[in-house]
Amino acid sequence: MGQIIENFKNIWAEADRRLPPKDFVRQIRKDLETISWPSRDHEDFKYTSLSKHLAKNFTPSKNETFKIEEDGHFQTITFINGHLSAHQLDSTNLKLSEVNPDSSFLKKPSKQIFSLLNWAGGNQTIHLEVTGPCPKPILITYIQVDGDPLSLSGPRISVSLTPGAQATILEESMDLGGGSGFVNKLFMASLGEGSELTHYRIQNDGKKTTSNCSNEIEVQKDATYRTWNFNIGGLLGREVCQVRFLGEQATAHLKGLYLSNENRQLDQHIEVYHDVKNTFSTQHFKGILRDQSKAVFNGRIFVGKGASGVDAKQLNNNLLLSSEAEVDTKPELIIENSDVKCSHGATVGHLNPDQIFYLRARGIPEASAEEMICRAFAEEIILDIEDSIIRKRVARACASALNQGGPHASV
Amino acid sequence: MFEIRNLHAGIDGKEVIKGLNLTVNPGEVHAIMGPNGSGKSTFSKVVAGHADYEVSEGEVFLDINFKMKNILDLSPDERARHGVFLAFQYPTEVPGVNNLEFLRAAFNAAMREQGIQEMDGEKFQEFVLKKIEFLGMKPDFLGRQVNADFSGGEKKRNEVLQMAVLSPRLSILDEIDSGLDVDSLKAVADGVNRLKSKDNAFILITHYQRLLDYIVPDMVHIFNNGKIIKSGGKELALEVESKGYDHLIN
Repeated sequence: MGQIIENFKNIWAEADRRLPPKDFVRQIRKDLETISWPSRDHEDFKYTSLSKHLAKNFTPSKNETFKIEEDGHFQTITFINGHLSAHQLDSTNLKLSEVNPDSSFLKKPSKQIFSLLNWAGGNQTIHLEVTGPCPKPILITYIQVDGDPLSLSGPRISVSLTPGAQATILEESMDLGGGSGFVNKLFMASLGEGSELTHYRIQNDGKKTTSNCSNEIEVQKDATYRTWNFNIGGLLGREVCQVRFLGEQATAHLKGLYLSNENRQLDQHIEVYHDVKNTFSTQHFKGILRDQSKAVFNGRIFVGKGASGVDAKQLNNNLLLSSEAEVDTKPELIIENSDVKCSHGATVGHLNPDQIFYLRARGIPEASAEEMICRAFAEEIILDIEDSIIRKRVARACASALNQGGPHASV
Repeated sequence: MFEIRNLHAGIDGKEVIKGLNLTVNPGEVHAIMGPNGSGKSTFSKVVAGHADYEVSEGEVFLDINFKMKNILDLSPDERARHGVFLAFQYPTEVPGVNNLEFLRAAFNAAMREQGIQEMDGEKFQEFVLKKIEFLGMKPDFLGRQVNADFSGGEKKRNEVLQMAVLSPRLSILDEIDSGLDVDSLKAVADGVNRLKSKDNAFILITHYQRLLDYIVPDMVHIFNNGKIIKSGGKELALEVESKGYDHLIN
């Protein structure tokens, strides 16, 4: 893994010419050099080769301008090639700032390799403070227009909700450059007492991109975090969602859908830490895999010694549309006390031939029959999105992913 | 409009249909009766084109655009779009798929096949509501998921609704009476009777004469060991009812 770091050093040197690094960043880089990089023995990387995706001589992504139009449903923040490009926030309860990575109010870096790599970039953190209710959802768009196959972008965004604040955020990434670089995004959120964050994510990076999205969420007393994650793009699309409860009666509902095809791989690493008693979480992730694609669902639930009264559920369902597709689903329940309710379940199946025959016996062509059944499978994750504009946007992205590269032309 | 010539077919290498001949004309209702394992259900699956069944010999002709065409080379969905309808003995549940959307997809697939303009959602809903009224059914069928959480009777009625929407020329009803109480049986039979016309035909597969009290057949065929051993009018069904199959077989 030493070679990976050597390659990154070139990028850091270039970044440092623009913004001299803080000691904090230097320390992270030093740590990255000395830590032993995870091999396939590590639970998180058992099914995913890091060197295949990262042993490249990356260059910093270009700072370009690109204009997108959004209708008035959203307040917007736009990143182009990972750089903050524009924002339009009407609410007086929102404040956006660019802050140094070592700012004291930011969450301390986690030990995740991809998070550390993001911090090591030394770029400013985009900080969004939410101080009250925000009726209009916030759309954060990440657009890659950089066609460079070795471009690296590492946007980092931190959201803090003051006690009682409420916000809905839709993050959507997309590729318009046809590039195959490395996008390594870090999203952090800190939910103050009694606050609520609804967080939708559509990862629709380029089909050749190595994409990692790390989400590190802290939830205080009485606060609720809800997320719907749609993992669609990337040659490797890796989603990490780490939730920590810091106060009682804190809740997290995590849902996700991954739609893979060709030789792509989509990973979800979910970690929910119940260190505090009377905290609640649910996880429901579903995946549809075509062709030779792969997916990983690694769902960890940790319940600490003193955390009694915890209720945590996990469910993972997979639909394999090809005999060559592979999913590795792995629940990891680490429970250190007895007064808890924890459940988990995982299913892996193929399309039911009786259902396909029934639809075909009514004249529906095979490809459409398959599509109807896949859509029904996926909709369980989509249909309970309350905001109808976001729901339609998600449904469109998923429909287009489901239709791509299918065994037959879609109708 | 429909003719089977010397059909031999089976499953897993075992021959079940052993030289079947049958001719059905427009406007006719045929009943196929026979003991368990005589090949009645296999016959329906083979005509519908189920991939698990293999045809080793023979032909199945359907009138397509005024020409008798062997449909054995067509896929199940092509056969359906050309007017073959199999009402399932156990209609499959397809959870998550909305019944109205499913009906529209099926209807529009047939429209496309015939080069007729497809119906948009609103027009189609109007069209289906008329069919529902015609069959004396409840409109709440449309908002539900295909056969999911339907009672046995509701599933069979949903088959009749599909038949009404698709207006098939040849409907094969595989034990449509199984598992139905008398009221449901009457409702289903009443639906079928309303859909009968001089241009379409029905084949009823049944164990019991009871169904034939409600849907009166023009012809009754007794199946045994993969072929028809006796054909006659509706009185043949009464003979079976009183004397059983054994005296016909032996």
